Amino acid sequence: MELHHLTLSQAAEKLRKKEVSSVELTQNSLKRIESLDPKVGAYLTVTADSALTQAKAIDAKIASGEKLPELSGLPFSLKDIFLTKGIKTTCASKILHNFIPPYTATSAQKLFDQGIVLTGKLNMDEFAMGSSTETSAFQQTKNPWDLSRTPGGSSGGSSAAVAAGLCYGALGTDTGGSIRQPAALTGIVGLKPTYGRVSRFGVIAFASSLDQVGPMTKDVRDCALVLNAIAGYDDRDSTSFKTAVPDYTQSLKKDCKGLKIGVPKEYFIPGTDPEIDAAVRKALETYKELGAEIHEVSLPHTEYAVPTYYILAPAEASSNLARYDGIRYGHRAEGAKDLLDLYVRSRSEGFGAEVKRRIMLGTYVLSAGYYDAYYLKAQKVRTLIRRDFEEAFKKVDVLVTPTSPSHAFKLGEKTDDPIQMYLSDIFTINVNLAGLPGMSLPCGMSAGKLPIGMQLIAGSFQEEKIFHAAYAYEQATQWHQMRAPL
Amino acid sequence: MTTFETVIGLEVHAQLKTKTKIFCSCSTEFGKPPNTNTCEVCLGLPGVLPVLNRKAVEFAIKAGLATHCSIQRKSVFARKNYFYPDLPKGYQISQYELPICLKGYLDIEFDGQKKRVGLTRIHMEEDAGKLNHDFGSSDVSHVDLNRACTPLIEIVSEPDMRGPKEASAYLRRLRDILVYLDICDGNMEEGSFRCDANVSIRPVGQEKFGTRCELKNMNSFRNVERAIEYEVKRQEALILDGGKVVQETRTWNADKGISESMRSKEEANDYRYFPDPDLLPLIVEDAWVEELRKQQPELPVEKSERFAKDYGIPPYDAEVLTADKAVAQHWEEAVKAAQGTEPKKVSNLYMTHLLKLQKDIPETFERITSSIVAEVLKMTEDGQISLGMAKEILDEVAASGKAVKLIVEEKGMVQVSDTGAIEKVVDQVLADNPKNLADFRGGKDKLFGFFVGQTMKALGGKANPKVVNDILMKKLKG
Amino acid sequence: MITRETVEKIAKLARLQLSESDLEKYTGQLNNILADVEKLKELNTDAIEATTHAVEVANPLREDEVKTNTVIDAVLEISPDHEAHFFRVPKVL
Ligand SMILES: [Zn+2]
Repeated sequence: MELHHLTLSQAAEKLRKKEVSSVELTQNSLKRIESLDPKVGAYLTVTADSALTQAKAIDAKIASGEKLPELSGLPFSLKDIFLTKGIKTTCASKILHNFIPPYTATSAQKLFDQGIVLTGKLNMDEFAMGSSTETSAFQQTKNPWDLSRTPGGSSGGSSAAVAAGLCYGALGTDTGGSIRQPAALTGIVGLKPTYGRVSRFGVIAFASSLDQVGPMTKDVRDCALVLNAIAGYDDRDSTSFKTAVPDYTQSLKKDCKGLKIGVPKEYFIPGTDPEIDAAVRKALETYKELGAEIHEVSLPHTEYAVPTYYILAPAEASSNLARYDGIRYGHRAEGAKDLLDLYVRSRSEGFGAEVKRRIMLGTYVLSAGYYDAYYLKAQKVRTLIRRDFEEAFKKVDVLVTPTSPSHAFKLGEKTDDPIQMYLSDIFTINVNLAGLPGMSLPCGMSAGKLPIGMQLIAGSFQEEKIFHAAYAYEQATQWHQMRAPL
Repeated sequence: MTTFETVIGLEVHAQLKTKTKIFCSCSTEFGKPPNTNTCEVCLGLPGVLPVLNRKAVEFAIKAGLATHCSIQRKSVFARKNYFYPDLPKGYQISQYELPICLKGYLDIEFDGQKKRVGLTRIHMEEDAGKLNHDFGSSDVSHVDLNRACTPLIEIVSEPDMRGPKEASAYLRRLRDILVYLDICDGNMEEGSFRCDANVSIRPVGQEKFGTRCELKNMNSFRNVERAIEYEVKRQEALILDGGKVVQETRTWNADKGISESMRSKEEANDYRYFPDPDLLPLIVEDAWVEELRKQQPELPVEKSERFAKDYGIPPYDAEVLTADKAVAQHWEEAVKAAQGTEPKKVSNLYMTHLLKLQKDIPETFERITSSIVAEVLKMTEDGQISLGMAKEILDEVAASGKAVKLIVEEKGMVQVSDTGAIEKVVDQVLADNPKNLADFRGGKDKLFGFFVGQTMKALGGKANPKVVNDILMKKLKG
Repeated sequence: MITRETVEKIAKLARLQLSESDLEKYTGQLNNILADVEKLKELNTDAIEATTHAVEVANPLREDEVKTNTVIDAVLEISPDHEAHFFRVPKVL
């Protein structure tokens, strides 16, 4: 197999056997970025020099016989929402076009400590607000399976880079589906862990009570390896949890005997593309063959998730984005005549249309007189949504649903209709509202050669159950071996 | 003519004396070069998150316990959203709907009356940075974020006070308590203890409150009184003139002695409070509160009552001595060290001399330890030195830090109590002043002082006054 | 219904300036989004507690120990305007 088609674990194996060096892997990735990224548009920043320096250092350690962590020496990239000390971090926004962070995000640092080789920073929707990566202030990212289509969003740079074999794995963030939907649309594995499983410190905030960091990889084992590296309590994030971190690779089992799978009926609806619906139903048949029990369950408040999300997320965002004021860092408007002018023009020039729209919405729902009707109401509905899942997980181990109601759509298709765009997240948003772990993994291919993803959801801190179910399915099928035709 | 009643409620912001800021590990040390006590968190960089300081929570609980509040098991931090250059995140983290302390009170005394003032709540929040307008080009301001994120508690009173004197008595009492608890410097001038006043008036007998104005920028107890006095007069004049009080914020201009409306600088504020999603609810278990309750020091009121009762000193003395925790401790140690000396005498020395001395020489109580006070008092008791000498010695200790023995030697301070020596001098004085002697014996009692003075002068001021008095009395009567 | 005036007021509160056409567009879009949100009113939530966080445990606390930090130098370097170790802004009245 060609070098760039290897998974993280396969590449690690070759490195361990000295069949390849870290420098070779890195050079190969950089070359591939150079030749293909002009078409894909995944990278906002390529860190070629520092990557090669890192790779050389790893090779030297290998040569000296040092025992290194499994991810050492492997080319890896980060969504441009993770702060990286000394490396420009923009969140795909003009307001941070010149921002060089003076510190590194905890999750990124944990990967650096494992010895990953950072090859660059990946495009995304501006401030992670979007489902197609089209709100980026800088460039469009294309789906490696069909360059006229979206790679999903907001972590579309990450999904495209992994699917195109430009890097071996990437980190994304997921507030309403931003890891899982792009993973589904590009045929890779993406996990949003339980809220609090991975530190948010150093990750630019969109909606703090929903944001979570997660791996985007070519297969389930890679996903477990990366989660092993980044999970755990961080004393700089008060919302990260002290729950012990298991070795997730221990959950990768091939049979599903006794595993109870729930099928929430509210997720199998007429609006879903029939090919997607069929692919997920077929996956359920596979599970049956693997020995799993299938139960229908109900999550009755599912239909309220999107409106709940579109109150809570913009409200938090409107406050989180107040710090971009042109005073201490980032874009400042030229020639401001007074302080108010400085604020208004720096922000109006710096933020794009979708970001402004959400700031407006969030400011409105929090403003005097509306708090109870909107924000408080949404938080209460959030409780109902959470309870639905709690009830379901009394009966089953994992839930299986489609990840996205549609295949990768054409670039430009939904940009003028925010509500249509918001509906792309209809199956993923609930999971964020309930703070649960959810994974998307490939489960089919459309007639038009576009990947289909299914979503596995488990209870709080039950990622092991997801890994178990995902790995068993993956090993029984071939979907994870598909590679984009680039 | 209508008579009005004043209604005052106070909001006090007290800076907590923690080593680090409330949500990051930066030092809170005062007077550092601009922006040097900062980090990614208090600079409001992207991606940062707050982590709550345990000590700040403890201090807030201590303040709550000392003011008889109920400590809430669950309290929640919210975001108060507004734009200002000294507010790096564009919001202030502050407790809003669910504060840490609710419903307390403070007993105060003013003009000889006692009164209980209710506390609505105490909540925790972060301070903002500072803007400097004093240098560089005239069209710029400079932002220093050293103070940003410093822990504050806001103590909100009920509108229970009825005049400026009450308000300042409440403030002083509150300040003394916070200083006693060692959780706040209580320095109004430096801003570690800040007060805003809500002032309204209503016709006597009316139950409904009048429209209130919020007064800001009063940086001393005196200014709080002055500002409220002014505000009350302003509102009275306004109403009697047929006008209406407008609810607004007014800033006190101490130089002009007036308050000025800030309305022009205000916009319609809409703070859009909501629970801060970066922090989980603060849970304070009973066991923690009980542990802190055990650690609570004796507070000024209790200490003052105990001093009066146990040591038999006048209540007024006890109150003065206990206003400052360090002084109270110093005094009590001195009483214990000076065994055999009446506590009242010890208290007199503090009231008439040491407290004044401290005003001139701030190091007074560091140099004059309580054992030095005891030593000097014992010397006066034993008649070795006069009270005047004692004070002179203490002055010298405060000024130079020299040892008492050395000062006594250097100044040759030995009190003459030898009756033989004094008798000789008295005889001489009587012989030298025959006219005065005759007048005295003729009934001019006032001349007794003259003879005391002459005798003391002849003895170089070193005679034991009691012995001099006794001898003179005997000899004058002939 | 949100009026154009409300949208203008909200923009001011959020320190955003919207062009005439943006104002028009946002007024329409915000109304559409909020019309969807009306759906939540179908649910009776009187007795339901609000969820701020999916998992609610007690907030962790940090010890009161000073850590020195020098990021300010790098921040001043990238700041749009600074002088004498201060951030500089137009005169605040
Ligand atoms: Zn700090």
